[in-house]
Amino acid sequence: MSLPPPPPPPPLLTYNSNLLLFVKNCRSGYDNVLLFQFLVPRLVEVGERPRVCKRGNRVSSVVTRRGVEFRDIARLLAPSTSLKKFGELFGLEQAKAHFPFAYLTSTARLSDDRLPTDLNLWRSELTGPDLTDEQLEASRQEACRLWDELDCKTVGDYLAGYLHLDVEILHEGALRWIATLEKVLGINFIEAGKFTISSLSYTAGLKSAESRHRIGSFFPNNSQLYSVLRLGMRG
Amino acid sequence: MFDDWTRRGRVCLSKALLDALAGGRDLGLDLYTKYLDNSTLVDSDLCFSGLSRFGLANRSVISTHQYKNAEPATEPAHWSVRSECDVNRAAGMVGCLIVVFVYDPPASEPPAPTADVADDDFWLERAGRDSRRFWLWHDSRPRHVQRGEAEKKVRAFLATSGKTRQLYELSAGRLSEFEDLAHVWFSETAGPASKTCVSVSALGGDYLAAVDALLGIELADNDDDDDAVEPFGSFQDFFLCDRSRLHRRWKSASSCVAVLAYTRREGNGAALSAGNAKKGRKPVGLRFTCLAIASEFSPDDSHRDFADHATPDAVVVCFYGQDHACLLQDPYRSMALAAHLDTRGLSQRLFNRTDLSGVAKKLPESVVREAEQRRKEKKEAKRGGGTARKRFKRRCRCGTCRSPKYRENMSASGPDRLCTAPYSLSDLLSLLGALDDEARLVVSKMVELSVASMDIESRTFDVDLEGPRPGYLVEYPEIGGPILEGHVFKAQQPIMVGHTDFLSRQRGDKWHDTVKDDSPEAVYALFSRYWLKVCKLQAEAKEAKSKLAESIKEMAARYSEAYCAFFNAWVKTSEIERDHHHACRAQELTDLRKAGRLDDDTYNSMLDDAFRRYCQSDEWAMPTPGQAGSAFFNTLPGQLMKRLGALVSRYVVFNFYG
Repeated sequence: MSLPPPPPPPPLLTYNSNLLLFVKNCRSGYDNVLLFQFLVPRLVEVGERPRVCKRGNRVSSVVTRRGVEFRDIARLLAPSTSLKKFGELFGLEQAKAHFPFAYLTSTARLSDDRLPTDLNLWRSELTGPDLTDEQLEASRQEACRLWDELDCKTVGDYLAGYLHLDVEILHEGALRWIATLEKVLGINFIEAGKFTISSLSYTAGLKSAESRHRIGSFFPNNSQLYSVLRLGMRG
Repeated sequence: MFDDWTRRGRVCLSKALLDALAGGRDLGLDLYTKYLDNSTLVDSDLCFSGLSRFGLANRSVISTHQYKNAEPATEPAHWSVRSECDVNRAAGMVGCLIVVFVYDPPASEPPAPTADVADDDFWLERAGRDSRRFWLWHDSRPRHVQRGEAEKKVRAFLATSGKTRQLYELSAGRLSEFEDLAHVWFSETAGPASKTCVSVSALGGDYLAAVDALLGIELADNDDDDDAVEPFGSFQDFFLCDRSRLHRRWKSASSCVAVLAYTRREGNGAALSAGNAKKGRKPVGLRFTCLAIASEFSPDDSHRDFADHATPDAVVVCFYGQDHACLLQDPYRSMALAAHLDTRGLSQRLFNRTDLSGVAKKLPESVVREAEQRRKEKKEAKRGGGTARKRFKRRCRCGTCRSPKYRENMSASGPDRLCTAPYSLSDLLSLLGALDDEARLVVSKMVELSVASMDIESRTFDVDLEGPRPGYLVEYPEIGGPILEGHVFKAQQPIMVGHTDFLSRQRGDKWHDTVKDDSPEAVYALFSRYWLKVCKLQAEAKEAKSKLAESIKEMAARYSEAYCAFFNAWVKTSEIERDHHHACRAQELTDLRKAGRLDDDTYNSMLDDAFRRYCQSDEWAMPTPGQAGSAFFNTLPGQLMKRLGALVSRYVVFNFYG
């Protein structure tokens, strides 16, 4: 049985006739994947010598020579935390908005003058595919209110507003998360350079041990202990 | 059929063979392109725009730079007739099996004429004159295929060596004649295969009978014996049989018999293997597969029921070509045997990959651990360019210290990983007694200025669902349609980027940028612009942080000045002390000489010793400013300066997906 002929491949995604390239949608760290694909080549070109940390297919950080670091804050949060929950955690004024990403298939859509009314286009894998029509309609109406509030003329204007909202929630949330962790652990993770919850916990453990067992607490009072300490000294 | 594909040496052998396989002159490029398409793996991390830049120029790149179409005599890149794998892959693409013979003409012999003269009879006649000049170079026929079946899709070629390389295609129907005529250059010293080899098919397809015939064992002698073995119809029978019975069967001919199969010769088979042997060069690159070793059962082999190592005087029977077998002679016998000798060495025991006797070796764990440790040490020594890491010297003789586990885990640098709690900027300020409310506020502000956030909005679109890289060699399992589990059917491409940081928010700036169109180049351009924006914002943040950190910097600078002053004073004092000691010693020696207790030679020698001690030895060596600087950066104020510099330039851009 012969298969029907395949549809013509999208021109931008094919190289020769039989080579397929794709962007893999990694659930977490997806923005870093895009940065790795599109920004890192530029960083290499401009001589930034970026250090990219990858674990499997996931890019955890991109660090440049001049000190700019691109990091995924999700590595400092509980696995199921979404940006919406992250904002709500700190009681931020800004709340994450809604956008019909299924509708955004081309840049030409950005110049459309209204948001789509088809509820299926408002479904998203991130918010959950099982939303009811009522919930989707509520999302759409909320988006329409924001459209009016931002005085948007096109979908592009609305997307920009949506994007700014996300970026501000993230920035404000990050600052508050830094303050919270500093209050609890006594460690500022930006200052300490620890950007994963595991490395932060490890450092906190070491700090705690260091403060409780520093050398002054058991100054060597016999020759054997002194010998052990001397053998263990570095530097 | 009988044309010279090299056009009397104007086209290199690789391109000639590609042309021949493609079925026409200058068609080799098409086959080569198809070969590259099917065999090239592309990393999924490649940037779209990078590939798009090449676009349709790909064909031109292959033709000009890889195949080098303008230079017919130059070998193409990534494909060579000298590589067995390359030839096999190309053969697979055109759906045939390739056999290549090499004919080494004498210097006085003119090159073969083109046109119809150089037919099969012509080459049979030439090869028959001196069969040592004619041998099999490449043979991709699988052994499990019967001779008749294999010949149906075989394409046979003959390449000539010497100054003018030529390539002719032979008739597949007469392949057996050529095969019988070919010289087995690693068997007897002279003679074609028909005389020096035994044909398995002539013995009813019994591989065991072929070995018997070569060893001169009469089959009738074993018929009534308990050791009679069923005929071997394939190589697998050698793996599965009882080796001790084989040994009893063959021990009258030799105490140790190794049965090998010639796999291939690596590299340039046309480089006159027979000529090399004649000149006494060592044979290299020959690959044999071990089928069986039948030798005396030794106590070392007690964990299995047969011996798996040959002895140096072993007789080597080698299967060759489609169904030939021969006895190997030195130096080929020694070379083939070397990998299977019973060296009992550690590395041999552990890493002898050529031992295909059919039983996986299980070594004692201690041997494996010791070997791995040694290998690791050697690797480290090689990387560091120095000697291997010294083992920790045992000072104690107790059971723990003498145990192998302790020895393996212990090195000169100690048994445990050193746990350190690095000091942060606040810690260092605290240790220096400078962490007041003002300093806390400064650090907090600096951290705020170091944090930024960004987000990327993407468009979603369908991707081509056809299997990746379909082709002859990469068979793609299309079960139930082209969609397979785990394959991506939607892709995303950035469409808008937004970024903010503390200063931007303070100013009320809301920066975002959008792609101009749907092309990958537009995305690439978007990120170039984004990077410029990030650099600008980082510079602003850096400037603001530098201003904030002025007070801390001043404090660290005061420590640095004090350190430098102390260092200079200490060096000066030490120099005075050193000079004083040197002068005292010189005076002492002078006094001794004046007192007549030292002769001139001794005095001079001791004076030199004193000079070397005080002015040249490490004992009184003064630290350099560089050493003083690095020492300062290990002090608390030095570390404070380093941490401060790092925080000033740090600009962390967070992103979040979800």
